Amino acid sequence: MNHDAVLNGVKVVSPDAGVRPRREALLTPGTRQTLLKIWDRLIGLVVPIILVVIWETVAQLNWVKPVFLPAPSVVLKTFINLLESGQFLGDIWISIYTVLRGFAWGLGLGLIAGTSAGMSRTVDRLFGPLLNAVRQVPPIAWLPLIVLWVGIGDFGKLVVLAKAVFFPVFLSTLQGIRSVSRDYVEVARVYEFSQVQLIRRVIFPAALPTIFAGVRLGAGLAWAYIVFAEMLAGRKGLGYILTRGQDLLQTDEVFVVIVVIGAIGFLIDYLLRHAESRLITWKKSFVN
Amino acid sequence: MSASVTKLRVNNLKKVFPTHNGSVTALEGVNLDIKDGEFISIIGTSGCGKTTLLRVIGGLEPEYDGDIRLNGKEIKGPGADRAVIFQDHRLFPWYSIQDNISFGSKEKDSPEKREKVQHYLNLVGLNGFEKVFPGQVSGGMAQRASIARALVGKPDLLLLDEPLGALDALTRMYMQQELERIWKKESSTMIMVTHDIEEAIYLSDKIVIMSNRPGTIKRVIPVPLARPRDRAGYDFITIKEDVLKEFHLEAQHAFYYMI
Repeated sequence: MNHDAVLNGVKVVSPDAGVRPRREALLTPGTRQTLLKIWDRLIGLVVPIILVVIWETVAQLNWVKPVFLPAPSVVLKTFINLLESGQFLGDIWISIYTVLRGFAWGLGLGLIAGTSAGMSRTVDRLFGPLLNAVRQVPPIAWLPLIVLWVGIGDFGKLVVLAKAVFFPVFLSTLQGIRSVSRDYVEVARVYEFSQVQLIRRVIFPAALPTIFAGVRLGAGLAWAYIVFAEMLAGRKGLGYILTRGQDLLQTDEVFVVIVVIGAIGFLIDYLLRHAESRLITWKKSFVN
Repeated sequence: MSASVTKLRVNNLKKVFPTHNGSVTALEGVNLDIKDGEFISIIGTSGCGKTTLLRVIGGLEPEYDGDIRLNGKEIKGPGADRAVIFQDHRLFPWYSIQDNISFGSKEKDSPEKREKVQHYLNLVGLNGFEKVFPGQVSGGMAQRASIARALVGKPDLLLLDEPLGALDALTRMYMQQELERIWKKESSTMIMVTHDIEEAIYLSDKIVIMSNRPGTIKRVIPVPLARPRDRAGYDFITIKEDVLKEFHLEAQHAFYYMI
């Protein structure tokens, strides 16, 4: 495997390198491997960089008015200005903090409900149809009711977020538990595991990869909905700045917020994927 | 090995599986006596109920008619006095080999327990693989780990459900020798379901032949050969022919002779 990769690497540098004796090669195999790895990581940046260059050119040549499309350099300047004002960081933090709380509630409730329904047919029969019906209505459609009942203050936003996270987590937990192989449960019976041991040693680890898919989906939804909820109401958070930018035609600010939203969303997914690979070490042994 | 004490007594066992179009009788009129320290093989065509019999003894099918007693105690469900080794190793992929083996004993974690786990790891030849995950070892090694998991709880009766069925022919023969060595060392009582006649003759004190629909015991063939057994020996081949005859698979001899 490694050897092949090295050979491929040589071929990329020069087509006849494969024939050459190895000690004449410019780079040691180790260095080449590292360079290949770095290139592998950076390759995803190529297209974005090209796009930014085109965008800058278009803006600099004034093909489009700045109010529609401010240049990336202008956006960057606005970003720095916003950071210096101090208020912006507070807005970012408010959005993140609200999402964290809503996510925690949705995650906790989703895990509890998913585990109960997964472990007990009765619970599933009692609550399954109702939850499935509720799920069919998108979170935004609940907004009028939520606003009517609890307002769209901090608590209202928490409810929207928790609901957005709850369903993917609930469903993936339920499905993850249901698809645990009976074979493993039988082993647990042979060695007389208690109910707690069964859940802790067998059901939960087996369902964890499926559960994580739901958690990542839920986290993505939560981040999307907080922006949406802040756009609708309130005078705080990234969503609010977005609306304000629109109202005041500060397109550069809108761009800054969009990039920040994207970056944070990316970061959330990255962190969750990282947590996933830390928690599910055993799966690596199959992948690699 | 005190070969006279009855370990397990199966008396008039009947097992019926309900299905949505009537019920299927998997086992009927099964009587079996297994002595302490014996190695018993159950062979039969697929669908004859041999695995069901093993599962009933293991307590995995607690609803049955008749009477099964292990050390005089009725079997009502799984228990620490029995362990099952399945055809697929069924190790938990999310735990290391060592952790998997330690689940075979209900004891709390302690230096003594860890020592015991290590002892059985060594016994099945897996020392050095303690921290490795099941997905990283071969099928034969995983099956060894599952054997160690079954042994670590010191069961009175070991139930093996085609334990070597998923292995290639050479690994299989090697594992048969290993199984014999472990059986001698642990002086445990073992019941093994298999459809490999040679495997049954190589390992067993007695071979139980089951017939189809409903599953019942057709014949019990003793294997009074000295161990380790020579797979190509005359007596071995004679017993093999005897077993084959039960399945109407004997070679057609050109000459008939009477003894």
